[in-house]
Amino acid sequence: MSNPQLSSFRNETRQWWVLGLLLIIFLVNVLPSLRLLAEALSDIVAGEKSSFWKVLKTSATWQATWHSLYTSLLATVLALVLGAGLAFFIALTNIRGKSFWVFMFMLPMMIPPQVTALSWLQLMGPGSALLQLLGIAPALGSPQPLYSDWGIALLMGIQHAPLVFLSVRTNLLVLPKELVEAARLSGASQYRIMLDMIFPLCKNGILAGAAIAFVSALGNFGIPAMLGIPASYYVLPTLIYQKMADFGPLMLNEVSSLSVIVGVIAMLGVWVQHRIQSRMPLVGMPGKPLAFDLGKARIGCEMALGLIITLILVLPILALVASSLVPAIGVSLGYDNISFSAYAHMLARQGATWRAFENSMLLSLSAAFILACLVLPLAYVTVRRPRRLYAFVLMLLDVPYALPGVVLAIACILLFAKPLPVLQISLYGSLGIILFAYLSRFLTVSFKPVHASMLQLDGALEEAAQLCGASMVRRWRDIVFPLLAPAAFAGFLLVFLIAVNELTVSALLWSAGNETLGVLVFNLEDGGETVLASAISVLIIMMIALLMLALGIVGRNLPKGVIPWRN
Amino acid sequence: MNFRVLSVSAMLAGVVFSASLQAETLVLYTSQPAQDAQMTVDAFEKANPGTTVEWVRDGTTKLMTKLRAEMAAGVVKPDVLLIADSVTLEQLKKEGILAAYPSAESAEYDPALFDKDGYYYGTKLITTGIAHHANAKEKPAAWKDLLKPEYKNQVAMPSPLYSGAALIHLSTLTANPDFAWEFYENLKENGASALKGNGSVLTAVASGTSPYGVLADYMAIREKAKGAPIEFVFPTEGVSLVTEPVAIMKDSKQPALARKFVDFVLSEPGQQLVLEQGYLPARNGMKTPAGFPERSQIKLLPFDAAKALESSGKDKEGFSKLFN
Amino acid sequence: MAQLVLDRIGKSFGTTQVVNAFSLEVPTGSFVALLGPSGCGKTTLLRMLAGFEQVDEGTIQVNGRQLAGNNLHVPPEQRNMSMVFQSYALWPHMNVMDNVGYALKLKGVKGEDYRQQVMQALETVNLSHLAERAPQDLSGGQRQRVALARCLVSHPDVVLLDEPLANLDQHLRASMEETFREFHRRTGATFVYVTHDQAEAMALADRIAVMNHGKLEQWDTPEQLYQYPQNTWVARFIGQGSILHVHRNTDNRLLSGPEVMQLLSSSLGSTRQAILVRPEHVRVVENGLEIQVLSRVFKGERYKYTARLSDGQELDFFHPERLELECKVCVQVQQAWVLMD
Repeated sequence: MSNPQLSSFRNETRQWWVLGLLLIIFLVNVLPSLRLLAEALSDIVAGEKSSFWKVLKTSATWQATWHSLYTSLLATVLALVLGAGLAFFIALTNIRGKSFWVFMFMLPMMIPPQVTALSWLQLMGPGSALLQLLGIAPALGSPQPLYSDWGIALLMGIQHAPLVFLSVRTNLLVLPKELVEAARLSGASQYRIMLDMIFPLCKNGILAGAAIAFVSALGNFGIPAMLGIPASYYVLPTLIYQKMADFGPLMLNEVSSLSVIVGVIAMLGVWVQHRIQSRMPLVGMPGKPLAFDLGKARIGCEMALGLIITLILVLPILALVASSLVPAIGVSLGYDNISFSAYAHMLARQGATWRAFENSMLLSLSAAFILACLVLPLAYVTVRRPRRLYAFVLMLLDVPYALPGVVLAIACILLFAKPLPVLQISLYGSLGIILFAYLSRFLTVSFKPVHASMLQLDGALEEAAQLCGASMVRRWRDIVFPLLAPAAFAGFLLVFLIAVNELTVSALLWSAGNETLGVLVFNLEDGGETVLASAISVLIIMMIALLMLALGIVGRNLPKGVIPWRN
Repeated sequence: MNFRVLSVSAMLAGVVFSASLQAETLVLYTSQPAQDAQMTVDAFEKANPGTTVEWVRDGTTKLMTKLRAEMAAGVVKPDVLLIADSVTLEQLKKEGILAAYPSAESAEYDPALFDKDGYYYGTKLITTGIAHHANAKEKPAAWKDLLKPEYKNQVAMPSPLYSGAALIHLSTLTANPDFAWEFYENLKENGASALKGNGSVLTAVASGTSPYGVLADYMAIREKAKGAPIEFVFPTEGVSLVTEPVAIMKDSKQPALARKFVDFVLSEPGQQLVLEQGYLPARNGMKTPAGFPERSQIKLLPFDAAKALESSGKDKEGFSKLFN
Repeated sequence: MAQLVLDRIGKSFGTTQVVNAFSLEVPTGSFVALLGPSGCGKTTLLRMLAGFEQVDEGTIQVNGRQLAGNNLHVPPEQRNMSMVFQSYALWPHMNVMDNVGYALKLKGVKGEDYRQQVMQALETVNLSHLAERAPQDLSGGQRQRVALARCLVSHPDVVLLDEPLANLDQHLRASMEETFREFHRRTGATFVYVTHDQAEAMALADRIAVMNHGKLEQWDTPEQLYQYPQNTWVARFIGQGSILHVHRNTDNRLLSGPEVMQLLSSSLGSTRQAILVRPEHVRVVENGLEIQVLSRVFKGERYKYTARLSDGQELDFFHPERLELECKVCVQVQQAWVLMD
């Protein structure tokens, strides 16, 4: 595949917009990490008594590190099995109702982690309204099975499986049909084709999905907070969170030190991923999708899928709904005491609900849009004009996403508490600081699909346009942008849906009037108002489901594969 | 496409400019539950038309983190604090962060409940006692009951690393020769688990995951009134107490409004509101909410605020070592 | 007058010299092939012509206008060339009509004028009935033709073709070759056709530039190339045949039958020389040079044999009938060509 060195880059003025772009990316993405590093380093320099060494010497640090790695790895394996498995089923077989399965499967990713944890907890404890209804609730005082390392890994795996799914599916959609047909001609059975052809060809998609799932699990806060802390099982993000509770003046330095450790691990993971992905993926025109015939096994497979979806999605949501309808926590749900008072209260009395909704929508839409605008040229530049510098920058992009949200929030506070020079606008305490944190954090989420799409863009397509007489601008308008648009839109969607129920970053950056939906749920749960929290969670899920449906309808006008749950 | 660009640009502009809106508002940092905070703010705004209160609600310790980060960066946002415990405020007073205000309302309060220099005033009496599930096998009556074998692995507690009230509780018990650190070590051996704030303990007890718990009084009593299967017990040895004091920040940009707020929460209407919310009002001569015993009947464990302040760091560390 | 002039073109990637002092003068309207094995630099040369690669040394001129070299680099969009890519490079988000008409759209041609020109181009390649289709829905051959039509529409000076038939099967290739010839006749443009397939090059081109390791080995018509290759390498690369080493005693390059026979059967002469013997110039006769058949391949219209001479060298020849392996036959060689290297 040709990767043309565009001769027009000789033009000096073009260099400027590249530099400008890189500068913006740097400011948004790298600056918080640097500020944090500076904070930690100033501490190391302070010598042996400094909190950095203290942190390194504490066994709690290493224990939490081990816990982080362990649960993240387990979660990644589960996410791979679920996500890649479903991607193969959906993309490669003739299973019916594909849009439905994809929709149901993507839903867990869109649900805030603390809501996920909440719903599973409602499902499994002795107080489970659903289990009580069914008469199979465990006895009073039985330990909550989810308060454990595997509980954390299980929920994180389910939460992040859609990330793997998206990554592998993208790969599978552009699998050249001819290759598989060639294998068939040589007599390969469907099974062998899977093994010899398809697995190796989407290795990149699988590895990329695994990497992003691992990094997500590493930085996940909501689930380990709700499931791990009660069992005194700490991972690095929750350890950091706990350290923040110690509000002596050394706190910021210690937190910076711990987050440097997380950052290093995340960087290692990201570096490994980049090494593996440095091989060029396959070029293919998105053609007709493959469809292995499952024959008699089809019904069985569909039922198995249905069972899995029921287990990982339907049951917890039912539990959540049940918990939102009880008059008070712990009361068993019966036909005579169904109460919608929680919903009434959240929607009518608490101005906070609507405020949080507006804030979340505003922040997510803005972040998603701005990022889409930034990553398109960035992907173009880094692929068409690859330089060592860019490869390094690309690695750095992942850092704000890998860092626990708590840490990024602190970095942003340190950066922005004073008004910006010259402009004299203070971002602190406004939505602006949260927006900035979102831009920093989700840049890589927006970038990855566009980058992957760019890598697969045959350079000849642009060259052909050049020969037709198209200038750089025209080429961008007519060729590059339309072909990248689906990926950019996918990135937009992903950022939007993740940001709309984001918690950990906004948990520290929100201030009066600037709550987000995630913060709303978390605060309610924190204050023991579980019924209210459940009610708002159900509303959030409904809103997200509606959004996903609406996008599916809009997706008629978009090329195939953009909206994953549309076929 | 154009419309979208325009509307988003407009939104972005709005975001940036909302940042600089300081206006005539009072900013309150509180650790009260959200519903209660909303009620308090609504009542204050009603009593003082033309004012707006923006409130930030979070656990005491998280709130302090916010505050510290802001101070480290040289920016302080809140005007008034209404947080769980006085030890925290004592610390802030020592660091010179609070402003003194001799409120006239203090005449109606027991001197033990407010700072003699007027830096902070207790607004409620929140005790920490034992809560248990209505269907729990045992009915605990004393703190030491929690150490019995019947309670193994069945007890939940709030963590002083999150909750100010829990920190006071820890300091109270560990300074008490009847309990000391041994009590907590025994709790640990008996499988007690440390959760987050009081809210998490409420959830654990009412849902039956941990049938027994250490919990703030109003939480259990309030939920019981709504029909939740939870009971509250004032242990025989006595309870620890936090007063959810209110204080004014020295660098507040609205000192007059802040003082009005302090006066309001300490006034009779303000304390009446506290009563309605289901707390024990701190003011003399107020009724007690349904489900509570008379004030005189509540036995308090002895508590030395100064000592608690000194040992708070060590207490947190000690707890952390035990339970993490 | 030559239309396309390459003067001592050189290009390196890093420390590797990919194109080395390459000079060529291509007459207007001719069909020229750049032929060579993989890695010989032909594609790089093509891309330099198009303007996708910078020229390190030398110059490129079209119609007297300098396009590259001496610190000048005219971008591809201004060279008035077009190209058929190996992957066809059809834009998947546009239908056939928009693909073909893109150059016109850029020039501002609209409405009926636009439609007419596009349909005309499509008719040239017999695809006007597929104007509304998406490229994904076309066969390889059809995509190929759309790519051609796209080239036609902008009336280029030079049409570049980068191994366009590499992805097609045998039968399609033959018909596409015809299409290319037809196309060339119609447009009168200069074609530069890159391929590694010498049969293809010889079938299509007026002149062929044979390249090896970035250098021009020979620049000739197909007939000349076939009959009179410059050196051993070209001889091996073009057509079939055997390279035999004999003791030469004349200065002729083109050897007649009797001369060859004499050289083959004697061992006189001063120097050992390589000569090329094409299989079609070897006849099986009653009395002649005795050789032993080693292998046999059925070609449909005839058999191709490899046989061993008395001194151990191998000779390829054709024969319509089947001969047994290991058997001895007599052959007569009708001509040979002396290789000078």
